Amino acid sequence: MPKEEPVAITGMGAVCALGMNVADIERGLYGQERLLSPAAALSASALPFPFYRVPDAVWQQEGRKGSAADTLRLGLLAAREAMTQAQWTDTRTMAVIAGTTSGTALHFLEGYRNRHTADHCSEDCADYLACNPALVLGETFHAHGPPLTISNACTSGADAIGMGADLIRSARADAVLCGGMDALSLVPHTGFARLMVYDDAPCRPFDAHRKGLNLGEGAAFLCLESAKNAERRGAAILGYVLGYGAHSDAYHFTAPHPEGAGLEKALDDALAQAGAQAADLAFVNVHGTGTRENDQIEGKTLARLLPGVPLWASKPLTGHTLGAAGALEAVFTLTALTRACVPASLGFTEQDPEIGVSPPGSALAITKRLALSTSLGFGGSNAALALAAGSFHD
Amino acid sequence: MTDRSLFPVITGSGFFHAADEKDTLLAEHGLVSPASLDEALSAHFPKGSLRRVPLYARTGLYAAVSALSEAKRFPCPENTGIVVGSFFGCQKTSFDFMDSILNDGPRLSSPLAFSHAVSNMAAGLLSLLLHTTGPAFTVNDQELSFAGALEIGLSLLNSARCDSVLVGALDEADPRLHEVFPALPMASGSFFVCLERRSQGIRAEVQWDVQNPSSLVLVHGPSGTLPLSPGVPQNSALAQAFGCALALAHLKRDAVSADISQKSTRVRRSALIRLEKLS
Repeated sequence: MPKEEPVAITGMGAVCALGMNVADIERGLYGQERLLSPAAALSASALPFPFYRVPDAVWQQEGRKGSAADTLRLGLLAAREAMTQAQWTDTRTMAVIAGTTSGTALHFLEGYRNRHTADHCSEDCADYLACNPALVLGETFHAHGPPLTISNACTSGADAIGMGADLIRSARADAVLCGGMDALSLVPHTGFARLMVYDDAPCRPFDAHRKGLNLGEGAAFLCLESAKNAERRGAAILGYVLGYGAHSDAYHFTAPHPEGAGLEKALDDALAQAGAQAADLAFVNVHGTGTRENDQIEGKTLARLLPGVPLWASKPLTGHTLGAAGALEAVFTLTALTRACVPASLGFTEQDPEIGVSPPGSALAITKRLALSTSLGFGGSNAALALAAGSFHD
Repeated sequence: MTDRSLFPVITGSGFFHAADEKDTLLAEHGLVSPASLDEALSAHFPKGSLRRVPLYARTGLYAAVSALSEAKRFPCPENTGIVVGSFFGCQKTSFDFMDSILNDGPRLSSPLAFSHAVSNMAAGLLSLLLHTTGPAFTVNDQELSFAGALEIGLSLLNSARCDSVLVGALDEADPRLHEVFPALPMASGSFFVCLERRSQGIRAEVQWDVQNPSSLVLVHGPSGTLPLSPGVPQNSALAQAFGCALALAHLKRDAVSADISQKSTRVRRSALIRLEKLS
C-alpha cells in the first residue's frame, strides 16, 4: 500500500461500561475499577458468566428491550455525541458506516419462541426490521451518501473506520460518520459461553493463567473529513486516521492463523499507508480478548513484528464489545495519545512463556504520537488502524 | 495512486436461484441454475471440503466460482477481496441456534450452530474455500445490501487494496423466517460479479438517493429503453442483484447501459446501480 494523506477526526462519541460519553470514559480508562455485572442482569436464563453493561441511565427512558433496538440506542447515543462535536452544517454528501454483529443478526428469541402463538409480529421481531444501523443513522442525520452496515464480526468497528477513511481519500464522501455498535443479548452471550471461551471471573489478557473473555456492550463513532476541509472550516482536529489494513487468514473459520498471517498483512498495510515503522509507535491497543488462542497468536505476532512496542489490552475495563470493539478501542487509542499516557492493562500478572509479552500493569507515559489498534474476528478477519493524536502535525 | 484511465468493470458474473423458484424471464436470459448445487461444486472442490459448509454459503460459493471462471480468475489470486450483501444473513443456522437454546436450554445449546450463525459466515467461508487473503466484508442493509456491497467493492479496488473483488448478493428463504414475518417476500439465491480495473468492459457505479425511475430495471440500447422485472420480489435483497444479472445479459448483446434501482421500504433511501459499456 502506498503512503496516504491523513484523514482528520473532528468528532468522537462513545458509550460503554465506563460511561455514557467520551469524557466519562476517559476518567474510567485511567481508573482501576472493573465494572462486571452478574449474568442475571442480562436475563434470568443467562448462563452464569458476568458481563460489562452500559450504565443503567442509557435505558432510563424506554428500558432495555433485548432486541436490535438496544444496539440502535447505543449507536445513536455515540453518534449524536460525535456529530455535535463535529458541527457539520451540511450532511448531504455524508456517508454512514456502522459496524455491528447483533444489530443485524437474527437474535429475536422471544418473538421466535412465540411465532406460532402470537397473532402479530412481536416487538423484538419488528425492531429487527426497523433498526438497521446505517439506514436509521443515515436518516436521523439527513445523510445522502452511502449507508453501509458492516457485519464483519469482531472487526466490524475497525473496518467501518478504515472504510470511512478510504471514502474520504477517494472523495466519494465529504464527511463520514463511522464506528461500531452492539448491545448484549441472550443469544450471543449464550453462544460465547457454549464455545467455552468465556471466563467466569474478570478476564486476564496475555496472562499465563487467562481463561477466556468477558462480553460487554457499547458503541463508538468518529466523524471523518479531509484535513484540508477541517482546516478550512476551522474545526478542532482531535486526531487522524493515518492507515488501515484488512486481511483474511483463509485458514480456519473460528481459529486465527497460527502464524498470524492475516494480522501481519493488515499491520503491514496500516503502517505502509501511515508511512510509519515500528519505531514510530507509542503503543498498540491490542484485540486482547483473554482467550487462550487469540492472545497467543496476536501476542506472538506483535512481539515478532513490533518488538519493544508496549501493548495495551483495554478489554478488562469494558469487556469484548464485539462489533463495537474496534471503534471503541480507536477512541481509547486516540484518548491515550492525546493524554500522552497509556492506561494500565488490568488483570495481567504473570507472563505466558509461550507468548513472551508483558502489557504494562501501570500507566505508561509516552512521547510518540502514533499508535495502532488491532482487531481479529470470526471468519478469519483481521484489521489494523494506524491512528495519531491531533497534535501529530504540530 | 490508482491509474485514472482504468475503471472498475465487471469481468465475470455468476448466478444461482433455488430450483423450485425458477423464473422463465431469468431462464430466457440464460440465467439457469444447475439441478444439483453439490454436483456443480464437486467439479471444483473435493466433496469432504464442503461437508460442514451450510447451504447458504454453498449457494454463494457456486455464484462466486462462476463469476471467477468467467473472469478467468479461478483459482483466484490470493489478494482478491470478497464483499457479500445480504438482507437476513444466515437464516438456517441462526434459527438452528435459537432452536437449540429453546429446546435444549442455554446450557446444552449447540456451539457449532452459534459459530455458523455469525453474520459474516458466508464471506468467511468463501475466503477460506477460495484461499483469498484480501479483505472479506459482509453488508446488511436490507433491500440495499447489494448496492452497499458494490459500494465497498468499488472502494476496495479504487483504494488499491485488491486487484480484483468478488461482490455478491446472497439470501436464503428458511420457512421459519416466513413464520416470523409472514408478510415479507422471500427470495433465495445468489448473484456475484468479479470486478477489476480495466479500460474497457462494463463499468459499474452506485448512486444514492437519486430520483427513482418507475421500473426496477431499465436497459438502454439501440432500440430504446426496455423495462424488465428482476424475477424475484421487488423488496427482497436479491431483486437489485438479479436485476443486474438481467441487465448484464443485455449488455453482453447490444445494450449500452442499464439502470437498476432499489428503494428501502423502511427509510427514505434508495440506490441506483448504473452499468455502462465502455468502448
